[in-house]
Amino acid sequence: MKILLRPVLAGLLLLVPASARDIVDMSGRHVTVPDTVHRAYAMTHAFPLITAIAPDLVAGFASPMPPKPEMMEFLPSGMAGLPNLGGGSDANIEKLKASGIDIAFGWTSKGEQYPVKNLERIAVPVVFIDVDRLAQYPGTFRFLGKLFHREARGEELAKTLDDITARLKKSAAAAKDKPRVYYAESIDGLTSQCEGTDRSEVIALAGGRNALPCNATALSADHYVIDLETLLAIDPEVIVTRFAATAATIKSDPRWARLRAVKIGKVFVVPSYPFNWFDRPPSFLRALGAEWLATKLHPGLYRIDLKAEVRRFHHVFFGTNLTDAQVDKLLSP
Amino acid sequence: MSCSLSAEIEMKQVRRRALWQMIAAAGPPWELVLGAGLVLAMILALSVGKYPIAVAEIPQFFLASVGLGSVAADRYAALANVIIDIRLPRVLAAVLVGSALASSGAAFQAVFRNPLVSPGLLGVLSGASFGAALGIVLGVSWYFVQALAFVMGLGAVVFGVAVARLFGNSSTLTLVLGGIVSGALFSSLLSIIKYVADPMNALPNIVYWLMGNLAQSNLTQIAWLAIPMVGGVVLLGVLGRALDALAMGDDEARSLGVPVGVIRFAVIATATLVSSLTVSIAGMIGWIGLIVPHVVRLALGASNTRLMPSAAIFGAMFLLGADYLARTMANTEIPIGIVTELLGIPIFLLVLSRTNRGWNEH
Repeated sequence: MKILLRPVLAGLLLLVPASARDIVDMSGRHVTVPDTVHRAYAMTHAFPLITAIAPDLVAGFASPMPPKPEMMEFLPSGMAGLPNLGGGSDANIEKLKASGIDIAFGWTSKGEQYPVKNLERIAVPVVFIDVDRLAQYPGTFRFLGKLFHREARGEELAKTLDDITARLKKSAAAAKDKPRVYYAESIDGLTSQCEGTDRSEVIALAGGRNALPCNATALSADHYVIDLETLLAIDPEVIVTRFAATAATIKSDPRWARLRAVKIGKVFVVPSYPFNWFDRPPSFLRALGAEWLATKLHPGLYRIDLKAEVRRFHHVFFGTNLTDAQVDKLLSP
Repeated sequence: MSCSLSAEIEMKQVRRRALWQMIAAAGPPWELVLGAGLVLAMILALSVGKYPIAVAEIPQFFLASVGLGSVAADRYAALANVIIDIRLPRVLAAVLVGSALASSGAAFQAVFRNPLVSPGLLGVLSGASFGAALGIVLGVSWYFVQALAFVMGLGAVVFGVAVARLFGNSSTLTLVLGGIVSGALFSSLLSIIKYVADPMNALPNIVYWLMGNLAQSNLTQIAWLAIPMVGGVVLLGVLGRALDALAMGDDEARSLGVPVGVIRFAVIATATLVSSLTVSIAGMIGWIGLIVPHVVRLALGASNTRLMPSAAIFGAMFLLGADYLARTMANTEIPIGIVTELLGIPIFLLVLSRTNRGWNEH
């Protein structure tokens, strides 16, 4: 019944002249947005934020690929049945129009603003928000809180992130040595991120050092391909992989066997639900990812009950009440 | 034009062959020289890399591994890891892939009597690329990705040949047309795969793999693939004499008692098989199949009897050199397909400059 009513309601909403207001988005643009948002479309990187602050307003997934069924149980209830509207430039503009959205969210990075032109053709205002670094997220949540008239909720999410970041900072400052961490991002484990890139900031947040001898100014810093010999020469103390299959290869392939991290059993798979805890997409789950990694890097220093923290974090951001089995599933991908 | 071109080329080749024969008569046999060159290139390739190993440690390691001399246990394990586990599969893969691409390129050029033909002519590389991309998107294990590359490479050629058969005869022209159709089909299928691939995970893997990569191979896999690949390259080498007969024209070859149809089929099938396997091992590596035969022809003359085995060895050495650059030129690994193409262009221009006088006189 609810589903049947949806298009009817959406149609009715179009007939009602919605009151609008002018705002300045996080990139400094002036945008006219509806005073009350009814349906929101958030492009890939903006999606996790809107999921946390306004899951009831999300019109659909915004991913170039069909969303993974495994992620559904960790999302706010009611989201599992949403359609996939496609992400960014892949999105079908007519489908978006038919979905009845009245606002869309993109992000402030210059190169990522091009889908706007498409959305302007169906007269949907696009608001750019900051998503690149975890430190920007409290500000983005407060901004969204105002936009959706959910200031308290925005503040709650921002405050949670501020608290976690402060705790991590304290622990990282107290750490005498910072283990050198290698982030094995690709399936074969040989593509990574240089120190200082947005996509590897979890390492620094957790009180580690990026093992790679390159920084964010390097050519292809966020798609850095290295060979095994370089890796052997670097000899990282900890390896974090994006895929479970990569960790399995690293642990069994003789070519990786001499690495210190492999010998002492410090090869970890990053949890990835509902959004990856490390990167891709970048999201506020990096805070939880950094806590997870901090318990691996500094078990004596960063002393929290990780399982309880996972449960709390998911409850705050997604309103879910995870069972022990679900928490275990998250922590051992 | 073609008359004066071929006459010019032929004269040059005669002169070059005479020169080569003079050199060859003075020194050791050419097979030995090339073989020794390849072994030397392999040893050099094993000795260079990013992991700090002193040059003297390489012979020490090999001596210690056969019980002569000693290296500290921990250092020995480190050396074994780097030299045997990491560098050796790469070196062997470069040798296999380089020789297979170069000799199948030379074989295609001989069968189609066209110097601008490369192993991709019948669609094998497009088919193999599609197969591998499909495997990556489906998320199957890496072995299965490689198997799919191989199967689709063969499938594309079978499709191309079937298209040629639709036109009733099996002349080389219809085969080329069939190959063009098949290549176009599988390229567009590859585009579909790239378009639907997850841009966060699968797409970068596909793109990276399509640029060629020797780092994926391990020793077990090399050992298995070496059997058909070495067999195929040797067979193509042996068929060089028959290809020389084919070069005179089908009727002349038949009158010499050469089974033209059988030879042509065997050469195309073998060259297809080995080039399809190269994609399984290393992804797409361009230019070798086109330029190495030209370089060898320039150096040793056009006789396929000599060209086929020499192209295989030169191809192996070329790819070893390219891989050396790919591994060491930058801090990051450079995809080998990019290196072979950038390296291939000046070489190809050089070859053209040596032969273009013949093209302009008519």
